[in-house]
Amino acid sequence: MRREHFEHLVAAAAEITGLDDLVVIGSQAMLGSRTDLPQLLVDSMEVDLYPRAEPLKADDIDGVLGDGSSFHELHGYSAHGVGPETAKAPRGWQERLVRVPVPPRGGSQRSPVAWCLEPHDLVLSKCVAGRERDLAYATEALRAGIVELATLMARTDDLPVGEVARERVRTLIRGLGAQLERESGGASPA
Amino acid sequence: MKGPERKRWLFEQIALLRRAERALSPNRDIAAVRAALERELGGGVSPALAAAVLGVSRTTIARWIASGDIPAVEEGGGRVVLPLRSVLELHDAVVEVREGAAPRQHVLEPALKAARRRAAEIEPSALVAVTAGAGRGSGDPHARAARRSLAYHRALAPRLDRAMADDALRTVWAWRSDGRIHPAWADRWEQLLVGPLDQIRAVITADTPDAADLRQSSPLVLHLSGPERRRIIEGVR
Repeated sequence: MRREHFEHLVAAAAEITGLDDLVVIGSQAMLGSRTDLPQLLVDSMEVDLYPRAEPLKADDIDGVLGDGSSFHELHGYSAHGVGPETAKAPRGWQERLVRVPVPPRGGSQRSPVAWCLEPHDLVLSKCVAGRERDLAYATEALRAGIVELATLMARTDDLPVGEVARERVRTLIRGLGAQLERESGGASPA
Repeated sequence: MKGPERKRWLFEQIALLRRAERALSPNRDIAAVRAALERELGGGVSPALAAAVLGVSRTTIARWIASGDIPAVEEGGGRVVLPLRSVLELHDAVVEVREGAAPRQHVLEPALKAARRRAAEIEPSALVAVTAGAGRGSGDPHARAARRSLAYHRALAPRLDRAMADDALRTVWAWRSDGRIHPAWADRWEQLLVGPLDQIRAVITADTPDAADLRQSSPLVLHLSGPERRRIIEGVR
């Protein structure tokens, strides 16, 4: 997904809900932190978001911007209305959201702002999900230097999951670190 | 040829190519030419152009947009755009009726009524598990999006035919060309959509994590009508 598509979706969501502040979780949240991203990190054509002040209005987003909507048909990208409970991110993630002002749509009086999941919180939520594509995402984020091993490991203690799942995530992160070290011929990815 | 005249010409060429494609097996070269024309048209149609190509008044188009029978997107500055695919499908209905043995005066109402009837026949609880006692906002929203997606595909599966599968394949080609789908998912969809229809139905209606992931980039979901989609959104909470 290109940056202008991301901005279009956030601005459209602000119009639909009448609320300027949208929290973006899911893989496209990375667009809030960097513009020069590896393709794998921005491959998805959908954005997961919800209004920060009134999360329940996320359902309106699904109706107008979701899969199979006229918007999706016209533009080729879509939005999922989600909620704060969807982000399996470390405690304190809401305080670490990255603020990204977005240009309003033509003729609009709104001032949309995307509040994007911070990259380490995003990668850890992917590690919790643990699917193959989530691990590929985490690996690429580490490889590109967008996240650091030490910070990831430190925040595993704050994941909203049981200790068994936390330990699984720690093992996973250690494994990714070892893999990247091998790729770089022994130099640690930090 | 410029402006509205060019746009009308583009629409008519796209409609002709679409008819030709339906008579042939999917062909990448024809699909590429059609995609180029669609890009020049802008992917959407103004209400004025829709009225012209469908042979109805702008008032009628506005009424159908207001009733939700024709999908429309409000772009910035109050501009309204109708997705090209929807107008092409209605155009097909117009051509079919006008080439029929007994041409009727009102050509689009039957198509719109058929879409409403199909939507009314959908029972969301028969398609997926809907949250018991569901009110607005109940359940994990991400899981709700996944259940809706499953319901969309289970609603589509009974009427999936080779024409729909071929059209979906062309959509994947266009998305791949525009960089709008990950190559791995494009490969999966291309492989699936050239296979037997019952295999496509089995995959798109499966309640598995892999199928749910595949559905996130589905070209088939665009074949759901607005009324059908709304019925499922209301029913799956």
